[in-house]
Amino acid sequence: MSNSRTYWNSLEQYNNDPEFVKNAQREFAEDLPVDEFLSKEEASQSSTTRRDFLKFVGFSVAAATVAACETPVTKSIPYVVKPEEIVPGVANYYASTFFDGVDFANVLVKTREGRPIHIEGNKLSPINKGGLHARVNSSVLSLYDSGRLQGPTLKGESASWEKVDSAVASKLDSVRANGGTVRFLTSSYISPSGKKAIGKLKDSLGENADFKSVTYDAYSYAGMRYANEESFGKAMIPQYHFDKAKVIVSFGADFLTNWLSPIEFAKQYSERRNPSKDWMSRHYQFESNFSVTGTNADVRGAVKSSQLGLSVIALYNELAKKAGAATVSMKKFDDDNNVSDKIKTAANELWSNKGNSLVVSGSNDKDTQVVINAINDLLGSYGKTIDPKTEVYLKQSDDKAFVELVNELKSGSVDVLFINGTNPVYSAPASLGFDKALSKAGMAVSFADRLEETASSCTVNATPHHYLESWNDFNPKKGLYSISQPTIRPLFNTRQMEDSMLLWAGEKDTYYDFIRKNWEKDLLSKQSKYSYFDSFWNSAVHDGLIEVESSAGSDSEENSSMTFNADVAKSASAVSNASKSSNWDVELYMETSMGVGNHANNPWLQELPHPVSKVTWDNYIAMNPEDMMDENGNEIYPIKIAEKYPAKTAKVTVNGKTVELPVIALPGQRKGTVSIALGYGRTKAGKVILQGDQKAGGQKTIGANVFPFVEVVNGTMQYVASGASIEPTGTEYPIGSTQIHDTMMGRKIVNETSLKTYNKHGKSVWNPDIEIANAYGKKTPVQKLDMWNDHDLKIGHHWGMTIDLNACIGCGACVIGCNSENNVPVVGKDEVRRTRTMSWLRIDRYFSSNMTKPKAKEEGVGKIDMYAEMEVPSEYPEAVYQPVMCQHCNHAPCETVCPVAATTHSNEGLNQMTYNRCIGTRYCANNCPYKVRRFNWFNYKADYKFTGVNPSQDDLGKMVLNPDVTVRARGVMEKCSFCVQRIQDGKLNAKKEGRPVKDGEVTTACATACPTNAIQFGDLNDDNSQVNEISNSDRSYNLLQEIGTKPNVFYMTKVRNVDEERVSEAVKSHGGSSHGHEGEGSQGHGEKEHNGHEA
Amino acid sequence: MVKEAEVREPLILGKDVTYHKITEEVCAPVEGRANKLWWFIFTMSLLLGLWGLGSITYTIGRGIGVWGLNTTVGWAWDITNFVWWVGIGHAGTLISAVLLLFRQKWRMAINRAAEAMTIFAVMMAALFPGIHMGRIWMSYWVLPIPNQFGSLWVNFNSPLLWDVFAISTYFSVSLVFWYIGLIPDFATIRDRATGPIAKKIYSILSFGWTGNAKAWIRFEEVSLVLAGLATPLVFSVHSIVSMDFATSVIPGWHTTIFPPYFVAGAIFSGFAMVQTLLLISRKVLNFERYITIQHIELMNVVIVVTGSMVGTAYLSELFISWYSGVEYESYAFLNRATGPYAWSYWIMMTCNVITPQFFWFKKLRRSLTVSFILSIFVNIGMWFERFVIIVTSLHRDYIPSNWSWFHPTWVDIGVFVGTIGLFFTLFLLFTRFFPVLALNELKSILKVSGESYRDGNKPEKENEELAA
Repeated sequence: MSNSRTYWNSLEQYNNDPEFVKNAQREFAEDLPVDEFLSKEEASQSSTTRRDFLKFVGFSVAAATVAACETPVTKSIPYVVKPEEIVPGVANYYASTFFDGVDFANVLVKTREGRPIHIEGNKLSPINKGGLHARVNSSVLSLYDSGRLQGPTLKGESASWEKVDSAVASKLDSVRANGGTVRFLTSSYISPSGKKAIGKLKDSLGENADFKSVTYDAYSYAGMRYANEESFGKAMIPQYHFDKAKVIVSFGADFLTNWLSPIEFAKQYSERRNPSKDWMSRHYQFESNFSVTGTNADVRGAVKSSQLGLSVIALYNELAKKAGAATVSMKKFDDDNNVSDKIKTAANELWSNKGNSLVVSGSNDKDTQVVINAINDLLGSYGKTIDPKTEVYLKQSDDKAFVELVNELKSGSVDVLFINGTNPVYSAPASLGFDKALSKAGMAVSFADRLEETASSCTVNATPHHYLESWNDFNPKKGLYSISQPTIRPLFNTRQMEDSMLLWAGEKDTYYDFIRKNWEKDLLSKQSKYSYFDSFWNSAVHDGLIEVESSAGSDSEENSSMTFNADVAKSASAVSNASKSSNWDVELYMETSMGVGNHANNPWLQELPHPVSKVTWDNYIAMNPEDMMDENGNEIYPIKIAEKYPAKTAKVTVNGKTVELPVIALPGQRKGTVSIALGYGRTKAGKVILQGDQKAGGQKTIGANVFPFVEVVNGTMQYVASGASIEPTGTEYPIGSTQIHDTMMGRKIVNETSLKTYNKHGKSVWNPDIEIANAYGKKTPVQKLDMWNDHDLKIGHHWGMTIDLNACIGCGACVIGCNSENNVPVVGKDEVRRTRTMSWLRIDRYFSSNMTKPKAKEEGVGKIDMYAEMEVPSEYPEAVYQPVMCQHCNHAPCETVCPVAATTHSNEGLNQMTYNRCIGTRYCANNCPYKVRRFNWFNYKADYKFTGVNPSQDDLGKMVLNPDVTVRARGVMEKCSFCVQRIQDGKLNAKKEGRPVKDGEVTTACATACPTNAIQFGDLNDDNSQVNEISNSDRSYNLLQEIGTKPNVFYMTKVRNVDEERVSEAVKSHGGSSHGHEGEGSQGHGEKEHNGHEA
Repeated sequence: MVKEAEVREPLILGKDVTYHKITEEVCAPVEGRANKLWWFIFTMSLLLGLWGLGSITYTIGRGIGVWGLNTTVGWAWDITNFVWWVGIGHAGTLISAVLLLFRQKWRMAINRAAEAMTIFAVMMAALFPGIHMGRIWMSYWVLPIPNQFGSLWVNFNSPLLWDVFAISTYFSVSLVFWYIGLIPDFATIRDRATGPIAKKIYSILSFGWTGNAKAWIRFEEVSLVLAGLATPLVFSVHSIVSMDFATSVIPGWHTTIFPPYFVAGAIFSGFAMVQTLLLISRKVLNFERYITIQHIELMNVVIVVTGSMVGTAYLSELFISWYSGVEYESYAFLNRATGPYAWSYWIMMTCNVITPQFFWFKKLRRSLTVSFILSIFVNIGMWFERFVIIVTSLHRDYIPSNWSWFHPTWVDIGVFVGTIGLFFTLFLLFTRFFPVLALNELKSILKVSGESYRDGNKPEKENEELAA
């Protein structure tokens, strides 16, 4: 804007008149009468003396100085021009998509004042239907991860994009000129536009270049794809329908939290786990580790991981006998907990539900999957519970191609290697030697958000955006396209991978334009709803996804002719031969929080307890407690672990690789096997993975990496290793577990029954009211007894929550949802060890025990011995989950004891906590029978102990805080508020629109996150609300209702689909409770018969 | 009973005791110089006290997290120490007030020190509800004072609030009672003081006491009135402290037997602490003549009676937990006796139920060594009683998933040991600056006439002088 124009005020100025020039120098236009003023008599006769003057000066200076001493003001800068869509204090929601190569979810991103603060599921999604996984809703925190790179790097040093681009361009130019090999290594990549962008680069390289994409996932499903290729002629993964299967048999597939598309499967599965519907599915799980899916199974058989394949063949043979097909030969396998009987029963049920049954396997072995396909083929599952026409694109790893790539790299023939979304230096099997191979690449360009293990060995890291900063499209399954849109301007000097590809290909378009063009070209025509592209695009961006009908044509013809034609006998004998008997099998599994380690620097996930073991912050060797003792019954490793009782470590050696990890007792883990979670032991992920006392200098990275144990067998990655050796080291290792006690001690905490009992008997048999008799023997249900006056809750709202223990799978998505919504501090492993987790919502997990009260009575076991035995879980127990948050008691024990009335009852039934008023006596927490109150032991947002872990301690991490919720001060009590800020928001919205609050309009963060709709929230005063209906149903009960706290949270009795009767213990012991509370506690699941059945 | 003096042992021993001698002996520690032993114990106590103050400062500076508490066990050593010290603070007022009303003259030799102990113990006790708060700087909110927060008021339903009233009332009444008793003795010291500063201070402290008959009449009346006021307080304070637990829903706390059982326990532990202190101070300050074996024996009788009451209470608790049939309740007590903290339960049982039973034997009751050792046992036992009630009830309550442990940190230990240090520091200062025995009251039980004032051996001569 250089501009030499000048403006003049008058003609004199323009003419440079001498008079004007002279006057221009003077400050005042007229002469001031200064001399006259000073010569006046009055001036010298003023009563103001010099001393007075100095006093005034002194006072003024002091006053000015004091006035300047204010408390520091943190400036908030208002918008100069307010963006139209941003109203301070009002949240905006954007539909987007999360996909990191492991998990896929259509999400809604909640933003406040332009920053994303919370992630919810998109209810329109046919995949996750509004549900989420803990790894998905915690991803909002990774946007504000201070471990992220703030720009591109060249040879490990930060560099400008120009330098990086020219470095890459010169290399690519030389390929263009001289030819060469270019490889694009990526995790499963499902962006249709992105694929085209990569195609552009390929095209730009010309004929000379040998360009190939290689898909490699740290946790591979290649075995399934190869098996389907062999069975049906196409390497693909079909759509599974767990909601259509009356009988589900899973061999080690943790389909509820990890396998394939867990959120989708959890949703489907839970739809058929409601006993009041016309039918409820029965679920058999055969596995070696105790997975989340295994804990939810009706019948579980623990099988050594090396023999899981044999059990698949056993099932095949059983079914083949029924079908009249040829059986295949197999080795015998150890039959520990009646697995062969369970397989027989499973086979019978599968067969009688032919066409309505489903068998899946978590194995990555092609042959095992071929046998599974054969089983499903025998059962007629294809076209019914398995939909091969809807291909799922989420897992595309090609292990053989990856091995080939590593060999190419080793030979030094790869000129340029791009690495996107995967971290093979960390995750590739040690035997492949990827790290050495990588150094032989001509130039390695990675697209990683930090200098992790792989990126730090690459020449260039073209740091990409976070997904919340990017445009992208995804094609997760046939006919479904979804979009991710930026919800914030890129925080750093980063550039999306696809943009880099387009740029390096010499394209002019930005990736956004590229996607639009691509959609206009490819997708507009596939749908008929919109005829103009803009409205089509806008609706897709608004909804986050579109579903298009798959075009009729060659595809569907090919699918419809899919017939199973693999050689089962050959595959079965391969499986049978591969199974070796060994002392120790090691199973490597994906854990609910860490997955494959992508989110290692996310403290929310690190602190999320593992659903089954409840351990946080570490991976460990999970071992059956019986294996932890020597022949004489002495503990080699401590079984009970608590603050002062650390675990002991062991060295696990598999194929010459050794890792040292703590040993944790996990009942249900198959004896002779151990399981270890993948995803830990990251070394270059950020500060969160360093745990320990900073001042003491004893910081260590969390856990150990067991990816090196993975072996490539018959072309696929195998996550099972047999012939391992495990040596106790005797070294102690502190472990942070959120639950120290494993069993319910015969109390009615989780009420449980069987489907048979549920269908046959009334509520009084399996969910009896607790009654108290008066002096004359007249019994009254405890709900009707009261020593207090009732709160008046009839007018207005009365908020309540129902939790269906049948639907809850224990995954922990609600916990992360709550942490994110309510700014719950992360406290780190050491505080977890001290039983001081701050999480407002915890998921209790109980194992069943061999000892029950009726059994003790029958066998004449004394009380002391009975309780001692009750503390010990069974060898292969059943497990139950119970989410527990503040129960919002209508007669809350906490409210009466607070000396300053900091916790009070609202007229809407909420138990409110006034942080400002709290003085921190902790009396309320002591008097809480549910122990759901959380005390701020430290100043988590400033204390040095939490610098490394608590996101609210760093400027970037702070941005994730929800401005609607106070960050609590040190010394105050906090707890679940039923998301009172959401209630308030919903009420205000309804008020503005002049209507009552609709059911489902106001809901809590936990209920929103739940992938199985186990948690419902609503108004109990609303006769038509869902919570009202559910809380009045027969399955409903209050936790510890005999204390008379009258909670607003209702639990639904868990009903297992098993054949035996499971009568409530209260009923069983004396046909209804007599006086007092005697025997109202209930182990609930008639453990005795069940174990008898198993034994 | 005609020959009372012959049947009963004299309360003050020694043939040559005169009024003057009492004055001389009681004032000696105040007027003389401290010996090395005093300095040694004082330094040790002060160091412990400073460590305690350091630990408290650290707690307030960083947060309650420096203690070993957790989500499940929200109170442990803090409230254990609080109840322990409050309990100890019961003996003094009981001795001075209740025994005054019952005309038990033997109380005169021990009431002053016992009351001082009460004051200091209650001070130590009052420290804990303060520092155990997450935000001690807001602690004044527990007082029902007008405030700028609108209609915000305290919660009169909360037993913690009752505690505030109970303890502050008890402390103030005990302090006034103690001080009233001190006035004539301060006057005696004032009259004997040689240094101008000491004279000034003691003359202020003695409120212009002249010792005339009118003053003595008023003194007696005020003492009686205060004794009447203080007596119900002795029983109310610990009843109310026990309600912190008894009104809760936690199995092991929710027990109606608590008020009487806590009062008995408090007297039991208070007498044990008085015993410990008296046995030391009678030796160190040469008060064997005033604090006699008879005193020790009488104290031991109180210990065996209250100890047996406490033991009965323990057994009734066990019985009721079984008889009620409430599974949480019965588990709580079973867990105390057999669970992870069984060791503390059995320490409590041994120290509080078994050890006092030795005092059924007169020989042991009158043995100084046995008395001293057993009084220490009782002090330990009563600390563990509170620990057992608080920690073992909390650590395994209703929901097993929350069951947890409590392990003290060095700060927990520091605060506790620190209060013991502070307590002894204050007590030792008391012995240097206050008349440790109620010297003017003691004179009233001396079986000697005032004629022996100048020369105890020659009353006749004195009479002659007076006659002349």
